[in-house]
Amino acid sequence: MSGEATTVSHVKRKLRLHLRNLSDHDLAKVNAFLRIGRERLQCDWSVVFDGEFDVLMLGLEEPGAVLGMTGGSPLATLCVADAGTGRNDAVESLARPLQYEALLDALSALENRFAAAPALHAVPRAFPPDARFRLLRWPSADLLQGDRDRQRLASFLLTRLVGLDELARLSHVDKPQCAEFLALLSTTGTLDVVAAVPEAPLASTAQANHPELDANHFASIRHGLGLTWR
Amino acid sequence: MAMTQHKIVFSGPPGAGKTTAIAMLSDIPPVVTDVRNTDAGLGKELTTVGLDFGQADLGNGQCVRLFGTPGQLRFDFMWRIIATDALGLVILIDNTRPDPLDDFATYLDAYADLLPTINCAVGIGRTGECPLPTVDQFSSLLAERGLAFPVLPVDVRRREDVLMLVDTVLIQAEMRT
Amino acid sequence: MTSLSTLTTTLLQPARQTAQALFAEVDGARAVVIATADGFDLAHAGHQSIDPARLAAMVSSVSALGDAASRETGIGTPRYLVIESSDGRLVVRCMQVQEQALVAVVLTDKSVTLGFVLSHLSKAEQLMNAA
Repeated sequence: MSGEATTVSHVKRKLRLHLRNLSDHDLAKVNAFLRIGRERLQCDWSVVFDGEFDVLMLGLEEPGAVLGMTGGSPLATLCVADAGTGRNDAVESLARPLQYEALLDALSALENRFAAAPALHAVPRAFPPDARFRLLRWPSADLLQGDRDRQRLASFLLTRLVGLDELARLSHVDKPQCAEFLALLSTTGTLDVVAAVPEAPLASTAQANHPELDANHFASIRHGLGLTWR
Repeated sequence: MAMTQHKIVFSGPPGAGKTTAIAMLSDIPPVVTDVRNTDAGLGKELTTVGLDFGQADLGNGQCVRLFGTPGQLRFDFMWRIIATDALGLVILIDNTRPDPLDDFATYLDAYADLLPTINCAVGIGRTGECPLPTVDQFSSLLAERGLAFPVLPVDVRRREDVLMLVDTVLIQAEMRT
Repeated sequence: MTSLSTLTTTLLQPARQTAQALFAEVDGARAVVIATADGFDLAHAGHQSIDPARLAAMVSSVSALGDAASRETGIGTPRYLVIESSDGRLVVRCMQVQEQALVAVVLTDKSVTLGFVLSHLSKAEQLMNAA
């Protein structure tokens, strides 16, 4: 954030593919195609069967049907249905029998869609030293990736301008992690960046609804609700 | 000792999980005003016609009062009454309903004069069953109105998801002090 | 268009008759609304211009809050709720008609004796159950 020379290294982003309601034959095909197509894909795809996942691959038995399920908030859904059964245009579809090229094309298309958030290890943009930031709109799900830290950081950036140090202090998120997130946001065109004027009051357009509340109050509210954050 | 009370309101269409969300956080059995539903199109046995009320005791003389509004449009007069002087508003949406974006717009209209200054979070439920509309489409709807609030996919049966929504409300409130 | 349950639709005619009878019999009545407990108006009568749908929703909320308060304090189920205002009165009766919870509200001048209204509302419930 001080304008030092930066290097950007790219690490293949990891994406988790959750397979559901697919036959053993289709499961074996997906695993094989992912293994063969590893070099061609931009991201590092792994198949998961429980826990959090990024993309859902769902086998359908009827055209247009979407099975009910619990949990999971996928970034995208790929439906697998028998060829000629009609396409549910609301959701991306793959026809059975699964074809290597079709699967790789579908995954590549998703990778391009998610390409707003490659893994970065340094700040791609140099901000002024006393820059303050404010979000103009809530970030995309692709960028947040269901990450609690990112969701919290974005919340701190919604109501008024805030500097990097203050953001790290209030959120209890490490400063480099805050900086990386701000850098990501800066690539989306949704982050307002203002160079602070020395000794000027912090610009704020938000109104204080409850002037009696202070930082201690919020800490005790969080503690009372069992919201432990770092 | 006088108790410092804060109010968080849960609003949203019928079946979005308001009562469940309050039950997740309340230390007392929630007060509910559910009656038998006569609307055959609603698909629910009971419906809230007054309000839901719960309370989370924070200790140190503080508590958070949790209110839930009735979901159906004919009770929109209750929405404003209940939301008055609230620390924050959580709008819950059921993504399996026929038109969740239209539902969302209804609540944005109802709270239009409060939203520029209230601390608000939006929880989109059942996205696993119905991934469309996407969470981003709800954010876009807010942006079209010049608004920016947290929009999160949630399962209100999970306490950590409800707490996350409340945390984002608290964060916004904290930033206004 | 809301689709009311079958049980509710069978009450439409008795509700209309009851609303008209209440309006006719209670001197000083300005309006009568009979609603389902979940806030749909079944019937209304009167000369004051009101929105029966909105009033039905409001009195159902009031009734439900009264029920919650009664349960909270262990005093059973509510029968009446009275909103005494500077220029009139709303008298709400919580009714049970053919296994259906209904709410009837009479809007009156302040000159009308409260007991008179309560008595007519009680009779109205009996008549609806007998219909």
